Amino acid sequence: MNFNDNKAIYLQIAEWVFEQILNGKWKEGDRILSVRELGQQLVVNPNTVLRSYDFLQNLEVIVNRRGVGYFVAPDATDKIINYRRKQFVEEEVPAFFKTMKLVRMNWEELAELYKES
Amino acid sequence: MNTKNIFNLIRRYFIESGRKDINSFILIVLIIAFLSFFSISGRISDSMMVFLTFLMGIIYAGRIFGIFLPAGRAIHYLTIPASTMEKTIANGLLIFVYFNILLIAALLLGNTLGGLAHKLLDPNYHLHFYMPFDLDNLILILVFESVYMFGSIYFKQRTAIKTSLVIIAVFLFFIVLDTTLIGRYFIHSNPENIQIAEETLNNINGELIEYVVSILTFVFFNFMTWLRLRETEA
Amino acid sequence: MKKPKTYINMIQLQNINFSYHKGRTIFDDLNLSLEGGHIYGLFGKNGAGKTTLLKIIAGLRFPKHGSSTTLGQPAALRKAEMLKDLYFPQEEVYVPAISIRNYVKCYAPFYENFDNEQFEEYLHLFEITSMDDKLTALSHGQRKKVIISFALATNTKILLMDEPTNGLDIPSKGIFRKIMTMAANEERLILISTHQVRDLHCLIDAVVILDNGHILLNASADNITDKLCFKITDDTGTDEPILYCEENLRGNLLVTENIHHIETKLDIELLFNAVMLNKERINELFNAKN
Repeated sequence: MNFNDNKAIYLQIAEWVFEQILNGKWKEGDRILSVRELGQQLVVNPNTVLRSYDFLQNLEVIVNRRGVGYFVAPDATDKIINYRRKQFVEEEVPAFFKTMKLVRMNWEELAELYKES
Repeated sequence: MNTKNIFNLIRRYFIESGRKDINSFILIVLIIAFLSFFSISGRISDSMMVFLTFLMGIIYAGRIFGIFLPAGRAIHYLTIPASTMEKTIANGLLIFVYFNILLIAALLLGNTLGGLAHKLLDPNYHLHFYMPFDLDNLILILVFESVYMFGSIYFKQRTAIKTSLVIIAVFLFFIVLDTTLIGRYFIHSNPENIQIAEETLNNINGELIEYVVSILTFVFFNFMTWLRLRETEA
Repeated sequence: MKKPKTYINMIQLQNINFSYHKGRTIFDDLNLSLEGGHIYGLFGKNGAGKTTLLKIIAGLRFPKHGSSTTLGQPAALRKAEMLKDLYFPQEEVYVPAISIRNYVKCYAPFYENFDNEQFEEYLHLFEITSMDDKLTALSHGQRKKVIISFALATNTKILLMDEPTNGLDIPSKGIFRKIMTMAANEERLILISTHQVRDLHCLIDAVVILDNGHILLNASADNITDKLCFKITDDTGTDEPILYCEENLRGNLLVTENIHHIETKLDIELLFNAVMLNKERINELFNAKN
């Protein structure tokens, strides 16, 4: 896994987990890799993975069953979409609108592009 | 103290150096056999055997620690999980017990093989087995080996030569002390003192003192080896 | 994550003063406490005393003043109980003239938790196939791989590594990182001294910076990214105090104080430069509460 330069690694790992779940590689209710296993797979300090898993637990994307391991939450996809939607609205949309205004693009043009995509 | 650690240290020695010792053993047996075969008496002399044991003993003792070269070896050795005491004892056992037995066995075996070969040439030759070592020269060998063991941790390289130089210096010092100070100021100052000195020497049990001094020297240098190893930095 | 007490202060240096016989002072009243469950990166300029610090921890050098306690024991006594839970592969590894197999026979019995399966797996990953090769016949890099594999497989509580990636070829550096993530656990304390910052990428979770005889910084990566921001930006317009700035093709590399609580990725090289330029401010930011 290649980490980009700006974002904290634990957040990048969380996003990687989102992808695994959204594209169906990790299914809801499945047991996922342990902290150590994922650390080895991504070549990342286990403590960083642990922090990622804590973060994902707070989002209720994964659940920890003591002594058994971590599992994908039954409604993980919804949780991820909610989180991503919130992130999109709060972080990406304002920047997007700013650029739209800068290049003087209006709603109709945008709608046209949206239909084409 | 843990005997398992001492065992592991000695085991380590045999894995790392055992083969070299076997080669040396065979070489010594062959050389001694060769020498005794060609000697007129069919065996090398007792004093020669004692001298060889003495010489090889101090060379071996002088190499026992050998931790300063090549670089990095000291850190490697000092971080082996055994206490300073265990390391000192392991090396002591290797010198005082293992090496001496190995060496004496090689000398006797060489001598016997040489003698047997000699007997083939001269059927009248009478082969005899006996230990050329008595307690006195064994003790002397052990004492000197303990000094050279200390030298092997005290000096960084050429330890046997440096230890020898120190021993020679110490003896010279005592000779000078004896002939000048004691001679001039004690003996010559009052002729009666000569008689006193003679009487004192006659009255004391010289042999006992020799043993006591030998044992004390042996213990002292083993202790110094332990102390020096404890203080060694790398 | 709560840690049992034995993991705390596995390494403790208090008021350490150290100088070599003729030389200048290396450490002047140095204090450092390290706990288990972390991979620490130890950084400092040339001659800052990184190797000496590792040696004091291992009991190989004796400080003139102060106490150095390792696993609860005075380090300088080099007790067997301490040594069997500590491994210190050097930068230039020393190897005896025996085969890998015999090296294991020799030294594994000293380490209760030595795991031969792990050892063989690490060797396999490093692509060292023959156990019968004499160690002295191997190249420097190969020797190092064997000793590092052995060190990790001893499962000692403390692992002190001095420039572990020096002399390893490019693919081996990647394998080294992978093996380190395999060997790390919640109990083990791994302290890696190095100049090869890129080799520790994503591996370390705590940073110790040594400068001018003192510990300038000892903080977890989380703590650092909590207080500092590392970013690449086109505009230098920021309301956060800038600690360090470096121009680059991609824009400006900045280290700023983290006022807006945005979590960024720790860049050790930038951190080191920022710390060197702002020693007092860093001290205020990180040591004020302690």
